[in-house]
Amino acid sequence: MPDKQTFEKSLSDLQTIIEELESDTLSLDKMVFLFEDGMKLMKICRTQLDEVENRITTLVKENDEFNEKPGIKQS
Amino acid sequence: MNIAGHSILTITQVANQVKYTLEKNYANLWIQGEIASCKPYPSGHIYLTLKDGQSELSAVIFAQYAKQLQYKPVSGLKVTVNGDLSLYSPRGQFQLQIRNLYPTGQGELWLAYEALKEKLELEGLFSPECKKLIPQYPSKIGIITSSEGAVLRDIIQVLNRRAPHVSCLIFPVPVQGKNAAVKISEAIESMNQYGKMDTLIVGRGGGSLEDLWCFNDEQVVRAIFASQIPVITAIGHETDTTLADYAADYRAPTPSAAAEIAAEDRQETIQYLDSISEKLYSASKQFIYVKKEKIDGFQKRHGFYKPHLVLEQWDVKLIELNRRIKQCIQNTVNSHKKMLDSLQDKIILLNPKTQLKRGFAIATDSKNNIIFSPDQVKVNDDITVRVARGILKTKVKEGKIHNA
Repeated sequence: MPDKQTFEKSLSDLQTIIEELESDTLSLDKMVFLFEDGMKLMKICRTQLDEVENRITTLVKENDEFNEKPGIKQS
Repeated sequence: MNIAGHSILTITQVANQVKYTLEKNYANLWIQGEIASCKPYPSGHIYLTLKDGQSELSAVIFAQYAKQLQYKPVSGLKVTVNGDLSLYSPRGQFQLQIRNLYPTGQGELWLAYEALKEKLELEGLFSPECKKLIPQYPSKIGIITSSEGAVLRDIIQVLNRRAPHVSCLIFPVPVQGKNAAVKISEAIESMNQYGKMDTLIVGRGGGSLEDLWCFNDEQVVRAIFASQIPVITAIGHETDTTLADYAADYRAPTPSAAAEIAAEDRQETIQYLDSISEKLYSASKQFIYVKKEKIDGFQKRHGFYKPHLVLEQWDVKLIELNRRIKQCIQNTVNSHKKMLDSLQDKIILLNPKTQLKRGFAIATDSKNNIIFSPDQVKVNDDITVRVARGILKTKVKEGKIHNA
């Protein structure tokens, strides 16, 4: 699930960035670069959280194919 | 001890030998009977006697097993029990140490359950190493349960409240009855085939042993184990544990709990992100501050100051040298001037005209030679006498040389 990878990976990337920023061994250029990266990742995470679609669908098999139908269907 | 060829044992020795034999050969028995009497003790142990038509057996359920019993032993109950035979030597009493107890009838079901459980456990289907981590931040959650009933409703409600950005994909199935096991395992396989979800919840509400039985089915258990998508089970009440629960990557006590495990609370996640954002800013600010301090430090150090000072010092020196050069020149000029002045005085003194002005005269002969001595001329020679204001032409009358 590419989305999931991004969120969780984004979080762990953010942790790494913060650790590097706190480590004191960076050049000024790298620091700016990391900071910008961090901002981008934050944006990705927040965007995903802001989706309030909350779709509820049911998986139905039709002619050997799976389809998602909106709402809850009976079994 | 040996007397006349017979070995004579003590009571304890007999007891120990019998105990050893019993424990070795009569372990892990399944026994059917009726509870003739049953007494729980404050220690937690339960002491009972089991009987059938002809015989009686003392039994004990130790506290640690008594706690986990799913059925309460009562007098008169027909039971199937699992335990080991032993000897309680202080009383010389034969004793069945019961580990598990089921009402007979259900006993058979349970035997099958235990057998299957052991088999699957040996195969490693329940091993903790195989359990996957439940994703903390899913985008889509699959739910396999009955389309009616409280389970689905509870799960969706909790997810709505907690994580409205997460979507739900439902696969409705029967959760009891003959078909259930097949349908449930097919559902798990289909969801895996379709993919596109992060976590699966397999749930059903409370019910009797028979109601829940489909979740003890081998097919269902294998389907859960084989699932690539992590599976959370929420089956029956908190005290019910089915084989499906053992195979799951996480066993939730209730459907609501399953939903809570499946997705992080959105507000909490937002707060977490805020704290990360805060750290990003403060780490960067700190970084810049530290570097700036360093630079300021450098500026204050001598390395930077010194040129300043050095230049100033040289400046002072130059000024001094300048002054001294000027002084020297002045001195030289002065001393030369003095010399010139004194020379000038001398020259003025030496100027013949000065002597003439004083009254001296210069005598020259007819050849213009200056006359220093009378013997340079004879009487009647013409001589010229130069005085301050002119010349006199005259003749020599007499000459006399001064002595010494």
